[in-house]
Amino acid sequence: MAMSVAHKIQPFTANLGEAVFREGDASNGCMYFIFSGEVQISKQGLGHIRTLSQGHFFGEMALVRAIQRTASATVISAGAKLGRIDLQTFAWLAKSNPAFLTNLIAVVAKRAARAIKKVNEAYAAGPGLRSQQRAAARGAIEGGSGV
Amino acid sequence: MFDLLVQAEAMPHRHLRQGDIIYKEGQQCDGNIFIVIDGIVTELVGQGLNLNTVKEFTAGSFFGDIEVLSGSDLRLRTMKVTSVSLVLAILDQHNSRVLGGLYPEFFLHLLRSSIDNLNLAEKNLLEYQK
Repeated sequence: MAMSVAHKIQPFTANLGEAVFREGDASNGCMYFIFSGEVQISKQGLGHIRTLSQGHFFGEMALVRAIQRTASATVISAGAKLGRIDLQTFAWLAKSNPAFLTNLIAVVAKRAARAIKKVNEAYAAGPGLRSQQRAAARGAIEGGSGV
Repeated sequence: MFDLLVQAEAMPHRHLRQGDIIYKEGQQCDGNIFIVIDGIVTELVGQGLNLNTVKEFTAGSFFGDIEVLSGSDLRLRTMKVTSVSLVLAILDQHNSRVLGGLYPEFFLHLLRSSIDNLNLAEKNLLEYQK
């Protein structure tokens, strides 16, 4: 199984400062894994939202939902080694390795839960206090390993 | 072809009426995911009189998954019956794993739901940045 999966992931090296994708880009139908190095995720209006490293993944939202990229992914270390999978490989992984899918779901669900909690807090604070929630809202989408 | 409504027929059902609250924000999470068989459920944010609609769930859609999948102890939103009547199927944590094992398409449904919930919440958060 492991060799099959490795065979289907297309490895590539990305340079410091290189954008893997930018917010608003049309989806190329791929998600990414980090084998080494670091990738910074940022979003317009929120700036830097998380730094991902070895073992983390990103780009699954555009792959699964066929939507444009919702954040930018930029390499922030020299010679980062990344892997790319397309929708066909994703579908193969999902069918042949349910743990892949359950891990992905858990990461995304935890990020969604954090974001929902922050929205609830901001809503409860009311319009007059919402400006004070902005910094907290920024923190809501930090953490996790997916984009 | 995986059909959630067909699978839901074999699950325990719950019948409710307009105005019933399925669960409230802050309530202990019972580990169940709810599938709408018939009727409409409205997801609400806020407390007391300060409630606002986030979205609606109709037949074939499901809710309660984010709390279960994220391991949250508490429910994150209030869910209210807004149709005259409602029929729900109840999917517990164990059976949701069994269902996903039998039908990977169900796990894909859960992943899409998590992504949509995250997208919606991030959009709401960005609104507070303006």
